[in-house]
Amino acid sequence: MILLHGTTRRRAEGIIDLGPDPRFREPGGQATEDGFSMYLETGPFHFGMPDEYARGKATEFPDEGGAVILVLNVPDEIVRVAATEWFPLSQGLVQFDCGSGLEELVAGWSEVKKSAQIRSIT
Amino acid sequence: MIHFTPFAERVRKAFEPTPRGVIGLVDDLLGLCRVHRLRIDFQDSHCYVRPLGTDAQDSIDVPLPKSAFRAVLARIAALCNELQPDSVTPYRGEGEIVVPSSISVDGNPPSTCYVSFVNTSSDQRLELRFSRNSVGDGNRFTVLLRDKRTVTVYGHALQYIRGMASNPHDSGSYGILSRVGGAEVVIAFFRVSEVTGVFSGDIRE
Repeated sequence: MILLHGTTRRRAEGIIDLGPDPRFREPGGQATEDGFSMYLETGPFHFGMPDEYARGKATEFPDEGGAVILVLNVPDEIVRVAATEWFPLSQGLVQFDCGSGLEELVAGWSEVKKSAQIRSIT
Repeated sequence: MIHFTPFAERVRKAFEPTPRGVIGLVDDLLGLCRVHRLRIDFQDSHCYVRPLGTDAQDSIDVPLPKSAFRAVLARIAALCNELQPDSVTPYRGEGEIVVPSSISVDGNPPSTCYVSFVNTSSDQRLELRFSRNSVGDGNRFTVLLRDKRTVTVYGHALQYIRGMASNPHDSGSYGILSRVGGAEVVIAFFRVSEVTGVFSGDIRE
């Protein structure tokens, strides 16, 4: 399944290299346990568009290389593990949390990263 | 903490998971804010809900994952921007959301809610409160018919409309008026002969 994540170029490159970090700490921020959220490429986009998030992060952190969309092809079985009562796939939002797909995504990262792409947003 | 009050029951009901996921939770909260002004905070791995303007000690602790609450806030931001593009960022803002009648509690008309939210990695909170009805000036007319049925109509005024002069049995009709696109239109029409009474608001026994 093709999934999208709006972010900055530096963060996208970091995610590809190291995999998603659920304890990612923004500059000046605190470590969080927010998991890793992505959108189905096909939508729907009930929670805002990925490029809005990318632009927002790029505006807040202007030295991170600008807004991009990280595009991943994640195996269907991993995506299905992330679907919970709060995050049915019909909403279009795939939320990888600890205990809900994040471990599986990290375990399969070496394969997932091979097809990863970074799309610039103009 | 508040327990077993109507407010608490309504809030707990709204936070019960449904097949509608986070989207359904947001719909239910928007419906609820017509009745209760809400303040929701996520702190120390707990989601706290309380009536807006009350102390934090009056909060109800509801079971909700942090990621789900952050998705609630993202949905709120998206709805604000649907009504007024670029009115808020995904991270913070104040705006308005139109709540369709289909998700209002008790079959209320479309209404507008005011929302204020923060959705950053260190701070997540939401305030919701009813702003105004979105149809006309939102009067609710309850029409009691002679056959004991009642009909609820939303409009801004009631008008008597004369019957046809050529028909001595036509005693006229009641029309309920609403403003649509700057014009005043009759949106409901009841023959006087079929009506027991027309009331503004609800009929309460």
